[in-house]
Amino acid sequence: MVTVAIIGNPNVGKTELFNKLTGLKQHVGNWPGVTAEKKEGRYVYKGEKINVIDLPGTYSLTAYSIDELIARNFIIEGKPDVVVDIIDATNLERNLYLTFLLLELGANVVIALNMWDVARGRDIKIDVKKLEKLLDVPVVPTVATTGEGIDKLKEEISKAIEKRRSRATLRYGEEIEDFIEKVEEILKEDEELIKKYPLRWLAIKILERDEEILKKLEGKPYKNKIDEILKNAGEIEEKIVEERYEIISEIIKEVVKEKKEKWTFSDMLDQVFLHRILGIPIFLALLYAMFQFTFSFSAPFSDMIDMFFAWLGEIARENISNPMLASFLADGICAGLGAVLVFVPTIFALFFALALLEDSGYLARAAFLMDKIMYKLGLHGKSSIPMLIGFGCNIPAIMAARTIENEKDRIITIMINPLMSCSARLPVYVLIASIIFGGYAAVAIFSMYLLGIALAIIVALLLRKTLFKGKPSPFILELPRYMLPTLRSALLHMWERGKWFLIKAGTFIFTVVILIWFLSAFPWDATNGGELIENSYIASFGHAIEPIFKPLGWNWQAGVALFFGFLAKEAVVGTFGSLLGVSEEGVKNALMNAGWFTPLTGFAYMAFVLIYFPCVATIAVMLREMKAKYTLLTIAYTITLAFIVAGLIEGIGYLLGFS
Amino acid sequence: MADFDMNRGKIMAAYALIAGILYLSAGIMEIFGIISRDIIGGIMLMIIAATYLAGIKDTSNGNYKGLSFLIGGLFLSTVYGILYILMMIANWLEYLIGNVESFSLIKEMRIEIWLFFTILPLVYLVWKNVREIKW
Repeated sequence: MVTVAIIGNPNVGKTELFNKLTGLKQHVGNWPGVTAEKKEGRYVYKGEKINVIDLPGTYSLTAYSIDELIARNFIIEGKPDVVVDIIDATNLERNLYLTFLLLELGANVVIALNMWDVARGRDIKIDVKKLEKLLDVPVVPTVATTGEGIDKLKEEISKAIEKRRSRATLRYGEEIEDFIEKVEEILKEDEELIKKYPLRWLAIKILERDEEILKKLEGKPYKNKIDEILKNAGEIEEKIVEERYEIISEIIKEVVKEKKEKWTFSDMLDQVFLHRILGIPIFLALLYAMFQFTFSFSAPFSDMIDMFFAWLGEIARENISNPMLASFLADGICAGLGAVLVFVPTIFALFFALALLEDSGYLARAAFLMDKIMYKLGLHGKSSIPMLIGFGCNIPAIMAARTIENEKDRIITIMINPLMSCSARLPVYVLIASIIFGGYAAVAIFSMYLLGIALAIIVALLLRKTLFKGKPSPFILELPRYMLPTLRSALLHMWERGKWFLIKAGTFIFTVVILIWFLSAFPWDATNGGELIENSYIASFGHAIEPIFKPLGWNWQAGVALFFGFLAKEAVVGTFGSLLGVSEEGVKNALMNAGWFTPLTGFAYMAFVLIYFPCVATIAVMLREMKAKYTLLTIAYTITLAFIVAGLIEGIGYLLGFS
Repeated sequence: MADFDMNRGKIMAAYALIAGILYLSAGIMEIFGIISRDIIGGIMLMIIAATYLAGIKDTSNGNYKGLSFLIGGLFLSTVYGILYILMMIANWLEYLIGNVESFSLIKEMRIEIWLFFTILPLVYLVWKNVREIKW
């Protein structure tokens, strides 16, 4: 089967064009790096089956990042019949650099001059025929979003498959050409190597000191000769790049006629959104609006789901005569399913708001704004978004870390995310703080958020110095143009990202909820059908784990509440209610009267809830997003850190005279 | 050199000054609980005010640079206006399902919503000046 590879700079519409060619519906975002790995699709043109590979967006073909290596190796080893190079028609100068590298690599290139409509709108006139002549490759103007030019592109791809055009060879200056010639002379002896790579390309890559290619020369008998040439060549790699841009510049002069606008709408928005003083406050204002929308607007919908399942539970309880079956359906199935589904409006609202920010092009600006601060903390600029989302819910936050290309940066971001105090922990803080700190409850609660941020920074720095040594990867981000987000696109993104929560996390939590129902309702006779929790398996378990929490001054009930918190942090409050025999509303007074917490043990308990084991749904997402060993490490470090911090709070507090 | 008619610029700058002062006052009132107490909400209003005020000088000189800040301010005003309208709808739904005992439209109309309506004429004025500008 014929193979066509699609390549181009980030955010030039590769995925959109891939979708138009193949009829697939891959996620498209106004955010560089949507194609994190290569995707595959097919189409039939005039009876011929054509396999299409969408490669990650890349500016160059060096060995600098995984994305670039994937793209380069595919073109070298996969030997696609045609490489469709997608070029942003509004930014020919930058995009042609990759075209030159592809031509150097010997690829059979067809250029799709995408965003043709935007170029037209900006009065950028490109002489397509002249460009074709200068590069000696077919050039097709396209608009991936509308499908304009796609048929012509398919036609040109087919022509290129049948008969490739001769292509222009980029000639450098005399000095560089001399060095290329010298390296080529040496490499000619190595048949094995030149069978795999184009000779001239190999010579240029060696002169560019490409790490991957230089590695292949290790142990070769001519290695010393190459080293000698490189020594004499000095900083020739910079000269090569400069000369490429000089040639591109000459081409641009020939083919592009642009009426320079003093201002574009994107320039105007960047003037304010990237402002050195107002930029970050505006970012915070938009985030605050996003959180308000996510949690306040979704609240009634969550309540409706909660009420619906409570009503279903009541029906089951009233109409089913078998008490065990009634309890299973009401307390297990209905309560369990309700407990999961109440989070759906919140999750979907968050993803909807995020999609609006992403599609508009603002999210890329937010990452750009935060990069400086994040880099100092050993984190990547793009880590800021998942960290801030973590204050709402760790699950979408961890999923949002997918936009971070570098694996180390992504894993660090995921591993510290549980320390961002999610909204599920707030009811626990409110309950404990209000009974022990009275009027100062708000300060105690706020301190938990600050503690979470401080610990996340410390853990990130520690991970960076131990497991993931090195500096965060440089943050090279091309700011996409602003666009008006469409409702359809935002809803589609929301569904694509949110449905996973329904399918996977939902079923997982649901199973655990049923397990907990079983543990708290059995032995059936001893608990009197789940009413006497003191006699249940979970109470026995509570007594068994009591010695673990005793040194911190917490009783078995507090330990059991923490255990239920493994499922979801909100369950801590509900468990206190069950153990005290009151509803969640009455738990505050009952807990105050029970005197289970002093100011010191209560504050330590709040810190423990903040830090220890992320909820099961978060763990399920972590397992999906990174290797199991890192998830296990996260579980281990959060539990250990929770004990250390709670112990330190109590120890230091005791020394300072608090009780 | 001015990018657009300076007289129009002065009108827009005057409007932005009023909007800035209104948002600043509302922000201070929210922080100190003179109207509903919402410290973070008050800070957000002050950010919107700062965005309007940052663009006054250049707008009055007829420069697009100043108009950029007005667009930023109008954008934030719209975001917060629509946000609180949606929250008002959410509260009404809570009332309908019986989670809250009462619902009063006037009480639910937060100052951000009133301010959003007051800036709508400025949206029109700014739009007239930037509609020809390409994305």
